[in-house]
Amino acid sequence: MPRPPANVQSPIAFQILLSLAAGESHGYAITAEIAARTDGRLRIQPGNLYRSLHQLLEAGLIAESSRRPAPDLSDARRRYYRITPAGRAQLKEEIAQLERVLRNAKLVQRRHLEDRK
Amino acid sequence: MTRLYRLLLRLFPPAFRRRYRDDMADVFSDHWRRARRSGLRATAAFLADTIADVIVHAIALRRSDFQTPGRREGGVMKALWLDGRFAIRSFRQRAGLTTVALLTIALGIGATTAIFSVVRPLLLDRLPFPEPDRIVSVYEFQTRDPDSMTVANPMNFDAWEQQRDVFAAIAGFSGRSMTLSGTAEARRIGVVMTTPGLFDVFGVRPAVGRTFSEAEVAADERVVVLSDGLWKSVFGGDPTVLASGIRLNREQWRVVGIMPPGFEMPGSAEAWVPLALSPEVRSNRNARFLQVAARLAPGVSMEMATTAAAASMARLAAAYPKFNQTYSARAVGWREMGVGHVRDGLWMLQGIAVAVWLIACANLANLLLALSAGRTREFAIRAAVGAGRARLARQILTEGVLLSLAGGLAGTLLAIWATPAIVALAPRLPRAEHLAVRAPDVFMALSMSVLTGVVVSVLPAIVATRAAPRLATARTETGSRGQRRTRALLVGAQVAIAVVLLAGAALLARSFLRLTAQPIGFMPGQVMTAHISLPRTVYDTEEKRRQLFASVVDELEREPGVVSVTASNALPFTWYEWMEEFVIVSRPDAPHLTASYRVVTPSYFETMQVPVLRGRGFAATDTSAGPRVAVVNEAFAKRYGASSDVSGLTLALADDRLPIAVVGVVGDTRHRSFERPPQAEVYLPLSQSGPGDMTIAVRTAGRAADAVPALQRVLRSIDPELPMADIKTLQSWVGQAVTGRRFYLVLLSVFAGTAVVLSIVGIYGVTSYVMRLRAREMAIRIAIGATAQGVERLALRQGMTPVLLGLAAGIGVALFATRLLADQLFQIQARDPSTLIAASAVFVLVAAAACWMPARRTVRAAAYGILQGDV
Repeated sequence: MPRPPANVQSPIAFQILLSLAAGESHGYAITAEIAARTDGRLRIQPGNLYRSLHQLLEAGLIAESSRRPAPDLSDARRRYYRITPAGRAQLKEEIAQLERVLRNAKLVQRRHLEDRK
Repeated sequence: MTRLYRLLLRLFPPAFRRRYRDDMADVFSDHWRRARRSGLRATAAFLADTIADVIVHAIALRRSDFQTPGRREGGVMKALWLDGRFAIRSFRQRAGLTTVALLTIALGIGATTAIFSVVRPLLLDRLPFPEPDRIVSVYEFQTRDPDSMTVANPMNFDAWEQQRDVFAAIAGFSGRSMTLSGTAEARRIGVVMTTPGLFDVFGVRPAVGRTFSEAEVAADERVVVLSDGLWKSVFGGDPTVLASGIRLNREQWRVVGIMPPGFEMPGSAEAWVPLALSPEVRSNRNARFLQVAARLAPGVSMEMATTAAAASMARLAAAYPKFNQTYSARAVGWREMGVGHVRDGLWMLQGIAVAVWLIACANLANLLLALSAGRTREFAIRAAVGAGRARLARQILTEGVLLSLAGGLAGTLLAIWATPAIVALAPRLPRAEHLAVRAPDVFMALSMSVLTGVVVSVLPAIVATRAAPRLATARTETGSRGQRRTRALLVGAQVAIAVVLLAGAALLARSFLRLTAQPIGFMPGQVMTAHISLPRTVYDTEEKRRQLFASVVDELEREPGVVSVTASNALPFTWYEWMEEFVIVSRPDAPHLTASYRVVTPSYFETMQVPVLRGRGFAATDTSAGPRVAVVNEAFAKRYGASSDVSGLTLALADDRLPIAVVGVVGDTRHRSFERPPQAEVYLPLSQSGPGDMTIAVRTAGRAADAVPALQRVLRSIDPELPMADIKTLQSWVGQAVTGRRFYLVLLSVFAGTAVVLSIVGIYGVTSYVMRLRAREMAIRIAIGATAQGVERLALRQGMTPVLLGLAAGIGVALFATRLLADQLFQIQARDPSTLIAASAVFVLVAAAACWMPARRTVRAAAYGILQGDV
């Protein structure tokens, strides 16, 4: 599988994938979920959000959902998105990557502390 | 707000926009609701973030649109992208300065765009007709008052219509409103009754069907042409209306055609119906009721048309000795007719708006200059690690253009909001309801933004790139002497422009106050007026007309809350006027006198509160059977040297020479405007004259508007078919007389205020920035023995020098520039010294405060720093 272009690995893209991994959703719900999850530290503006969604769509990591919730539950105008298997793989890969980075950083830190002693 | 956001979204590439627009607006409006709840500061931050978000991601998306596969990565777009990202980061670090800069540009460009959106359609755009310069309006005027303007007599129109070699097409028309029924709900529409030539005058063919034929007009058939607007809004663009027809004033009319979109000539017409001028009407020498539009024949100039129209009137005057004696005619270009009264004023306002923009530019250039001086070290380091001069210059240019584009966008939004307010405030403008910020105005605003960005970045770019390699190790960040001089020059220029505008606004304000303080001779408060025009078919005798007005006045006087009631053929400030020629019977040697002819009911002087100075006013005893009496005003009395005693004076109308005894003198009233001094007036009682249409005036104990239900009730009870027009307070009529002045006063004040605020912000911003950079120097000065006050004085002196120089220059310019306002001034000289002095004094005080505050703060901090050993 070819590597997706670099820009879908941005922190925003990561957050969107993470959000969609829990289930399909629409634009505003994605930003709301991310804001709630990050204690309001990350509020994504619409321009950024839809550009990222657009890029994720092009890269095949997410897809527009054809299903809609019951009309009385939600506004039918809104587009819904779901994560694709490729997206899940990408997300898994990125989480693993982040874990490697974190492990590595902790290792360096510990060694640094030992040196001081 | 969401609508504005959607406008912003136009920055995105079209395909992207079409796909996500609605969703984005949705998300925005949800965010916006939340942001608004969390205070002003958060709202402002949110809006700034939103604008930045749209710009950044729109550019990014457009950039990726450009990049076709196989094209070289990097290059100019890539560098610009990097510069842009860097610029936004650097703005974020200097949030305060960036906000000031953005507001500055927004005000400058907003002001210019708002005025431009009015000037462009009214004065610049070609009228959307073939050969628009050949379309004229022909009107009559009274020869003794060349500025007067009146509608044309049908016999004169008939003569003009014969002059085919002068007028290739000509139309007489008259506007009215009619009730359109048979649709979802009945509504009043603006209808133009016109002779068939109107469509040829404008050279516009109907989009559907045809216009009415000569035969249909001659037969006075019920045929109508609809405007596109009416057709679309009421009939949903349904073509079957041509077959089914419409109902107007309870009659069935045949729709013969529909005009193309946007055609509403001669004004805001929604439909056109035939105006049948029968041979009898065409020989009527007593009425004037036609507005006339014409298209000049090839080779005929405006002057030739005027001469021809006047000549044909003179021929008729020679043929009929009582006709056209005091009238002539004139042809004026169609556009001139609509906007002549505001053209100079609008250009002046456009010039002033540009001046405000120039201040904004100077301000911004100064802020960026101060900024780049402060960033010398940054540039030096970047140069040291390998940035070329061109790269640095481009960085600064990108920053300037991005900043001013963002400001320009905000300015455009400001203009979108401000234009309707300006139009509402303005004196009567043609097609006023269509005036708004449109695509060409936005394009102009954005071009201006780019221009602004380039202009304001040039100086800082030169300074930075020149200084960069040399100053890598320098400690000074306050800029070289050359830079300081440039800064001073920019401050001085701003101050000069601001002072000129301030002086202009002050002159207009003083004129306005003086004018509205003029005594008008009556009390307009608590008076409601309504115009009643009687159909001559029903009220065919003088007696019937007199009877009607007398009973309306009687009935109204019995209504609770009504103090007194009168009726007059020409109430002051209502634009009705009657002139008659009088002779003085008791002094055969005195010349004839043209005076205003006022028919009034006995309670007129009481209702209008015009004082009776000598003799008496009218009484119920002045009946049609009694001796004929008149009351004159003081201007009339003075004219005849009869100011002390008028009891012996006997007048007569030059027409019938029936003697009328003058029984009293009343105070003068201004009739048309505050400016025009009172003219000679003769009042005659309704009972002894033949009234035409009258205006009712009701003085109330409470608010004037309280009289409206009573007016409607009384009129309905007397004759339910009679229409009332112009139901307005007398106060609003009087207010209308100063609409034009109020318009210029308000706009010039707003602009002058903006200019002053901008230049003060500029002075404050630059002084505080420079002072912060000079804190170290201040501290050293204090450390080696200068007092804090001494250092503050030094800073103040250095800060105020350019202000005072600018002030001097501004006063010099103001002495000449304020002459442009001469037309708008009243009893005050354009060079009025006290106004100039007051304006300058205010300015100096505020500027000194703007200099002193940052100086004081810095010096205090520096003195404190010494104690802390923190230098």
